[in-house]
This record gives sequence, structure tokens and C-alpha cells, in this order.
Amino acid sequence: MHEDLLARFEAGERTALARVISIVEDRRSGHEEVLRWLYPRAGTAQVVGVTGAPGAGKSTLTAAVAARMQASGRVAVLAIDPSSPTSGGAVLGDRVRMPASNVDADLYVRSMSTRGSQGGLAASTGVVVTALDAFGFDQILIETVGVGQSEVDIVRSADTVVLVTQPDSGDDIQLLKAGILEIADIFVINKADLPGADVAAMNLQALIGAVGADDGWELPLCETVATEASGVDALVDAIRAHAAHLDTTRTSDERRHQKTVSDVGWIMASILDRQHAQHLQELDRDSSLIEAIHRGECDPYTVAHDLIDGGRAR
Amino acid sequence: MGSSMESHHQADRPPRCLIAKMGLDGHDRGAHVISRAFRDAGFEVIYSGLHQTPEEIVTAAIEEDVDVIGISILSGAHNTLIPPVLEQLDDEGRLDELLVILGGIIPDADRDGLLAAGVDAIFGPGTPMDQTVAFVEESLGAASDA
Repeated sequence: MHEDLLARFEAGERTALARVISIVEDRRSGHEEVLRWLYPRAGTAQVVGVTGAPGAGKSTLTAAVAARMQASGRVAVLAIDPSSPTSGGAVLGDRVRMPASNVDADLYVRSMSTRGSQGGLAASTGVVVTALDAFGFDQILIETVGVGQSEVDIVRSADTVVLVTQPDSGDDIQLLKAGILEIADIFVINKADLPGADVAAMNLQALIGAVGADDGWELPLCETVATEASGVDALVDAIRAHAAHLDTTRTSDERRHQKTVSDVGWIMASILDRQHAQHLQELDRDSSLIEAIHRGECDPYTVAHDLIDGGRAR
Repeated sequence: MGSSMESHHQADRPPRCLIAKMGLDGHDRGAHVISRAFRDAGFEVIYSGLHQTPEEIVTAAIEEDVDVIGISILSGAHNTLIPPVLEQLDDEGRLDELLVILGGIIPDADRDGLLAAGVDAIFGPGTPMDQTVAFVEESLGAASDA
């Protein structure tokens, strides 16, 4: 039903890409057919996640990295900001920091709201990445919501995770806690011109040493001043080195296997999410069922199972 | 505008809106306030930042696939900066399906020319936020019902 749009997408029209992203993000009618069409065309991009606490400089650093990478390939930036828990609205401000662009440039920037998802990403991040990948971007940078300690969804969407910290972001006990430290492939201390950067680098280096190398990858620590683009070349080199490392250490069969498992996984998750929402609506409309629970004639566990199994609890 | 607008906005998702500042105009309090008003009305608001060129605004509107562009302009350069935005949107085939609204200082004498060129509405100083948001909601609603 979207043949014209997909033909324009294939011809490289940016307006078509933008509309395809909206269709898969919003799960509009026909989105599954669109995704089936996109899927075999995707799979070649390096997906880089940029995560870290609010205010660490993720947007500015992502913009600087994108500007560098643009010299040698086509780059897409997917910038995610939180949605309001009360209105569902959002102010998406990451674009402010992005380099100037135009419709013909090798850079595409798209802002997304989490639409209520926790974990630092939007629920539809995966399908939007598929669309960008299929369009032919070489590198896709995902900038997460500002995260605290355990919003680690990015690790499932990205090949390479960059954790951005800043001096004085709290004592090293914070980083000892389980979560964010363990998912990073590359560490960055941004705002490295601030006082305390040396100590922060020393502390972080000690922690990285304790985490140790995972399948032979020596975790690099880059010091950057994103506003001046200083240290960004070294960071881009580290990102490229990680891609090369993945290519050499994991066989392509093994990676394809893992990727397919994870792809089918999030497709199932999105189908189950939708079914969950439908079941809740069903229940909401069926006051006899709810009253039966109130009268003690059946219990909520039975009702939950029956709704999922398609039966009617009585 | 209005009935002729072929918006792709669908009611089951938040409408998307680009709030933009152009040229040398560096006063963005109004843009921040209107961004918040749209956010509180459930919109996804993409804020462009200051000093955007017409080309950058059109690029952002296309890449972000927005339903609405709101440009806040206080510098008096509207007759120079706004027509290129409209022309480039038209070139990309997007002018008819987008709502373009202006806020800020636009003298009465300039309004008709901008409206004729493709601006859908102009909201001057003192316009209640609710009125601007209601206009946009009604226009998008009318377009998606059509």
C-alpha cells in the first residue's frame, strides 16, 4: 500500500525516508509491510550508541562526531529526548547542537521522543534504525535520553556503546554500581578542560582496569572538549577500531545469529506490547468481568491468563 | 491552508511541530514559551535553536516530518527570510501539507503579503498561547478528518 513511497525511498529521496520513519515509528497502517520491505535492505551500518548523564555533553559530542564521520561516509543521527509523563508531549532540543545541514547532505538528523518508554530509548528505536540502515547510511549515531545508572537499553540497539561522563559527576562509588559502566565499549570524559578532569580520568581508568577487557577489547578512555571539538578525532578512531574489533573477533555467522535472535526478539516484544494494550482495553470495557473479580468469583490471575489465552474468564 | 491542507497527521500519534528562530534575531524567550505550550498540549516540539537559515529550517521540517512549522521572528526581516522558506517547501512538495504559522512582530502592512505567499496564520504580541495552540489543533484535526 506504500509502493510509491518505497520507490521514492529506494531512489534516495529524503522526504520519503522521513515519511517511512514516521510510518514505522507511529505503527501507522501498513507499517509491517514497510518493515518487511526494509529488513533485507538493512544490516550494513555501524550503529553507535552515545549515552550518559543529562548535561554530560552527549548532543554536542554526537554533533562533533557526526561532523567528523561525514567526511568519509553518510551519517544519520537519531536523537532521543524524554516525553512528558502528564501531557505525552516533548521538547526535542538535541537538534540545536547539530551541525548545519541541508536536504542533500550526507547527514540526516531525526529527533524522537521516548513516548513513555523507560530505559533511555524510544520503543520504536529499533525499527527507525532499520529504516536508516536500509536507506544506506554507513554510520548511525543514537543519542539516548540522559540516563542515570541502569538505563541500558542502548546495548541492545547498538554495535558500539560510548559512555559520556564529565568531571565531578559524583564519586566513583556511583560508577561501581551495577549497570551503565558494564555496557560501555568506549569511555569519554567530556569537558576535560574543567578542573578535576585529571582526577576523574584517574578514577575512571582504575575502574575500567577493574572491569577488564571483554573478548580482547581494551576499553579506551577518551578525553574530549566537545564544544571545541578537541579529542574528537581520537574518539572517532576508537569507534572505528571497535567496529574493526567486532569484525575480527566474532565470526560473521555468530553475529548474524545473534542479530537475528535479537531482531525476532524485538518484533515479538512489539507484537506482545500491542496485544497487551488490546487486552487491557477489552478488560476495561468488560465491567462484568471486573465485577466478578470484585465479588470474589474469580481472581485477577485467572483473568490475566484467560485474556492472554483468548478465553473468557468466568 | 485549512481545508486544502493535505496533512498526514493521524490522530493516534502526537502531532510534531518545529519551532524555529531565523537570521540575526537572538531573542528566543517567546520561542521557548510557545514550545512549552505545545509540549503541554501533547505535541512533540523540535526546537531549531537560533540563527537558522531558510534552508536549515526546510531541512529540519523535512527530516523531522513535522505537521507544523512555527517561526518566531522579531527582527523585522520577515519579508526577506520567510518567502524563501515557503518557496523551498513548495519545491520539496511539502508546502500544501504543512501548517506554517508566524509569531512575533509582523506589521499589519506586511501580513497580507505573507498570508498570500503561503503562511497559514500570524499571531502577534499578546495572543494567548491557548489561542495559537487551538488554531493548530483545529487545523490539523480538520485536515486529518478530510
